[in-house]
Amino acid sequence: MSASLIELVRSANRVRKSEDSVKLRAAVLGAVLTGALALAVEQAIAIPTAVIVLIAIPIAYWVSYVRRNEDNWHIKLALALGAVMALFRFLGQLSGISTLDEARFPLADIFLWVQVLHSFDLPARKDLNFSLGSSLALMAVAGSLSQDLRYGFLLLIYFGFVVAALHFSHRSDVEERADATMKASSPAARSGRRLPAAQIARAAVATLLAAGALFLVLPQPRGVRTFALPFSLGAGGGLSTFGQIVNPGFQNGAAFRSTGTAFHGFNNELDLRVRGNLSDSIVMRVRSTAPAMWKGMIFDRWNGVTWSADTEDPSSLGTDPPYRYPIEFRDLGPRIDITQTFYVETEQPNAIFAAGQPDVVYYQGGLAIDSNGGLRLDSTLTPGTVYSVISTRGAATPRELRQVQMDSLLPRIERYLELPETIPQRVHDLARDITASESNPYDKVKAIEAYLRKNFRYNLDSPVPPEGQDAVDHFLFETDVGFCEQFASATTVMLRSLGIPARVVAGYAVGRRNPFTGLYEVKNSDAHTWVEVYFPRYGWYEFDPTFDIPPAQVDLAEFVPLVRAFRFLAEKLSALIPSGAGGLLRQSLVVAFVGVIAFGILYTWRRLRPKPVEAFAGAAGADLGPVGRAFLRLEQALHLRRLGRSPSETAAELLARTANLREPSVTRALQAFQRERYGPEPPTADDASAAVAELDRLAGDPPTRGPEG
Amino acid sequence: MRPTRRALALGGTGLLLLLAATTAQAGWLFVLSAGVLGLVLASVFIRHRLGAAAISRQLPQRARVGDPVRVGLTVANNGRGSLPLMLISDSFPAFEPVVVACEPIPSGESAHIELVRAPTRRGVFAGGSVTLTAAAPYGVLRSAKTLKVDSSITVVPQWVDLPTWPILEPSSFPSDVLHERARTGAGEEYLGVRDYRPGDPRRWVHWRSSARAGRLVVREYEEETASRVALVLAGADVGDPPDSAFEALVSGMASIALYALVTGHPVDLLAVGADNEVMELSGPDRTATLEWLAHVQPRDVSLAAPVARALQRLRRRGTVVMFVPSRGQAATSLEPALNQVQSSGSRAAAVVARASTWGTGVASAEETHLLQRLPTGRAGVRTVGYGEDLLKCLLH
Repeated sequence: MSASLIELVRSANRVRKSEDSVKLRAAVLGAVLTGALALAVEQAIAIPTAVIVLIAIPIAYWVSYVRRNEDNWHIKLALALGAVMALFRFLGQLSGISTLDEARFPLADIFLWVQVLHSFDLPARKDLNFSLGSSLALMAVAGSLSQDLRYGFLLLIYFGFVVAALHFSHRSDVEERADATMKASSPAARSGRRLPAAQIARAAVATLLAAGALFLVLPQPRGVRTFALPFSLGAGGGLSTFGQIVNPGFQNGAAFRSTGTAFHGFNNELDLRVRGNLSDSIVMRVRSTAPAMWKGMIFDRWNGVTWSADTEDPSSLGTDPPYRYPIEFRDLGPRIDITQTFYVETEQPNAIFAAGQPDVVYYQGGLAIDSNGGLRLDSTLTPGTVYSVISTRGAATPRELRQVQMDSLLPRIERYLELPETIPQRVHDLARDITASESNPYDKVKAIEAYLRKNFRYNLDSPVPPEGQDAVDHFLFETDVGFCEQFASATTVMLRSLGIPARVVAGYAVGRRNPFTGLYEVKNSDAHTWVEVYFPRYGWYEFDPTFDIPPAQVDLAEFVPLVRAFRFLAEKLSALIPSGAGGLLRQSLVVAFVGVIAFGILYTWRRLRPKPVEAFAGAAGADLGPVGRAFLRLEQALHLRRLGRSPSETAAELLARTANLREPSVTRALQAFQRERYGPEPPTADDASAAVAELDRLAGDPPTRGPEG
Repeated sequence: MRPTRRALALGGTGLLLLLAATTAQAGWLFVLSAGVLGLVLASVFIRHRLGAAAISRQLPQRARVGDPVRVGLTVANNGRGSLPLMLISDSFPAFEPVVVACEPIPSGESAHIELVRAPTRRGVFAGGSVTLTAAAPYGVLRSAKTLKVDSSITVVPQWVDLPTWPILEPSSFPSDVLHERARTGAGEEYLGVRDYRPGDPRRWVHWRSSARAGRLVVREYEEETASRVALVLAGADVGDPPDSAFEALVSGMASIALYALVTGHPVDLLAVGADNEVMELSGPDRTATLEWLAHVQPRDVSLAAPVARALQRLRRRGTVVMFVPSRGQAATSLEPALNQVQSSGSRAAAVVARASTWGTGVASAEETHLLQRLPTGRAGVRTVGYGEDLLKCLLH
């Protein structure tokens, strides 16, 4: 009984056709190892695990090659036990995670171990194909974790192996289906070395070009991900702050010259007398559903040279993430969501940087809020820290904002109208002059923005205001240069003088989006200050008199890298072309782009479209008999039903697949067709007419039963 | 070009990666997705240029059903680029389809292979398509081209080498006592007497010798030793060629015709053509006989016309052997035809294929009736059935 059971198991596990191609196995092995290596490089698995895996997988491939013709039932049994152990290990790891996002790592781990176990039993080509597919999953996990360009190098190597594996897999498939193999007569061709290598190289280049083109044209929509957002402390907590803002790179009042390592404005005070360039080192990477300004600090009080933030002890928002933005700080009106994840690279102040209004914050640590609505942490942000924010940003249209009047301000907003008595009258007068022709607050803001952009130049080393002089007055009337702080401060002061609530905020500009990682790379030099203006019923809206605020509504064309590339090219070229020609050039480029895309689609369609049925009778030319014509009609009808004949299919095979060959009438029709088509004598008139009737019946009626067998 | 299952798998995976990239907002997943989809797109743009292939097939002029022959296949690349790895499906109707893998062929070069193949069916075959299929480099998109290749072969029927066939045998053997005794006093044409054989006309009976011997004895004439033999074939086919009733009859006819030629009988071959005209071949040699038999097709018509033509050819005496299946018009006309032949003074014989054995295995009433009714006592009737040894059937 047990012997027969074992024999049954062995019989079930017997390999029908083992894969003998060493090249295919080597290519798949290379792809799998690259996937495992990528996981290790992206720190999804521990180094000891990576070492074990990178040694175990080649051994497993060797074992599976040597034993490819065996039933290997005992290995399969051991692998099943191993899989169960891996599952328990996975469950154990799951119990140790604190966020759903962290489940990625145990998942990568178990997937890798399954890959290792599976590698011990790869007898057939389908097993190798499965292994190749699994390696893609490893690369995908590594790719989702990667934040830099190292992954690109591994990806190139990986696709090299994939190209080779697919080539050898196809080759094996062809050889298996053939009864014999023929080679060209030349010695080079017979040796089988030169052509395959050249063809693989050609295929690889074509794939690279095709993938590049696809990457440029494929839309990259930014899905709003609101589940399992990652957050973790990298190197643990930073400097304890006890509620005050601490800037590890620039202490309060430390100097009037920036060291270049940190923006001096990320403090309790923003002193307009500080000068200095900032380095271009990356301070954080941001994954975001839309570009935005990453706001960290909110300043409300102006004393003539310095903006101050709230220095009172902030109110705690609790200790358990996620943190909800208090209702009293939330704005109303139309809004859009922006989901962001911040990956901190260098130590940052104890503030949450986020777009717009941070409605939900995922941060592993304590969070508090000051009276301006600024979010403060219990320690500085250390390198490796990850936090996520779901923000909303006002999306009211200019038309809606133009209808707003400042007649009913909440008491908590009135503080954003305060100005020191020392503000010279000429500042108030200038504000009124600039906005004299505007009837609503929104247009007044835009008028001041336009005035500053038109009449003032950007310079990081602008003159420092003399002691005792208001910095805004100095900027507006005694110099025509400044940088973001001067632009933002002047705008805010002038708006307040007009009775429009405004405040200065500091943070980082959007940064440059890396097209490969999809992350915005934010540098030290992206530190920036801009203005928020309050509109009753709509809340705080961002304005940047220095540069542009990214639009609230993202242009769909921005999702397509090629469109961005074309726009970039058009902008560069239009700068070289006299005024007026740029628009024409841009339009020409758009037309050219559409033309290229249309040509590509047309070409692809022409290559892929179903060809007119190539009938048996068609090969014989026009000398078709009645049965041949009937068979042609049948083929065309089957073609329309997507049951058309494949090029290698014989007439008997076609009828066996689409009709019931056991029916004598079908058999006779087939014989009549074969006789007319291939025989020296045509079928009799009776046979021919019967065959025509039968074939026409088959062409008209969809088959009511499947093929034989 | 048609996408394969692998194309669908890759395309689906690429789209899933695109979805994952969108959800995870991971830029590298967009790159990975583009790479996977790029494998499919690259296959679209890698042209296979199968039209540059020229194919020729080398066949022997003649072959016998079932005998192995060498078939050559040559693929020449007349294009400027290389031909990719291909599958070549040769659908020449005389043989079972064969599929050959062809390694990439550089421009201006050719590849050749010789295969040992056995013709599966009798006939005269020409043309035959060859289909080239390529899905290089990844097996993602398959393009195919069907080419008509000019080549021809005549596949003659199988036959068995008969050591003897009594119906045609002269009896001039020393052991034949009757022969020696009756020879005395005979005329020029009269050779002697011999035992009656089914098929001998009644008027040949030598009653005196029969009375003496206690069994039927007939006169034998000198011209009978080399009398003409007319072989007449008609009837519908039953079963699937080459294993069918008609093919068995053709093989039987070939066997008897070749035996007749070996033993010095002039042979006439008769059948009914497509337009109901009697096809005939008179006095052929071995090769012509086999080639003529390669052409014949089943046609269920009465034997009357071809038998009448056969009797015209035989003139005074000879032998008419009819080959029919046990169903249809030909079968129905067999008995009158036998009588007609015997009435004309010629010997009649028949080889009947029991059609039911190629079909359901159950003889129809018509068939049973025919076999019972055949004058087996007077005419030489042999039957052959599905799976039976043709040699034994013809001899017994």
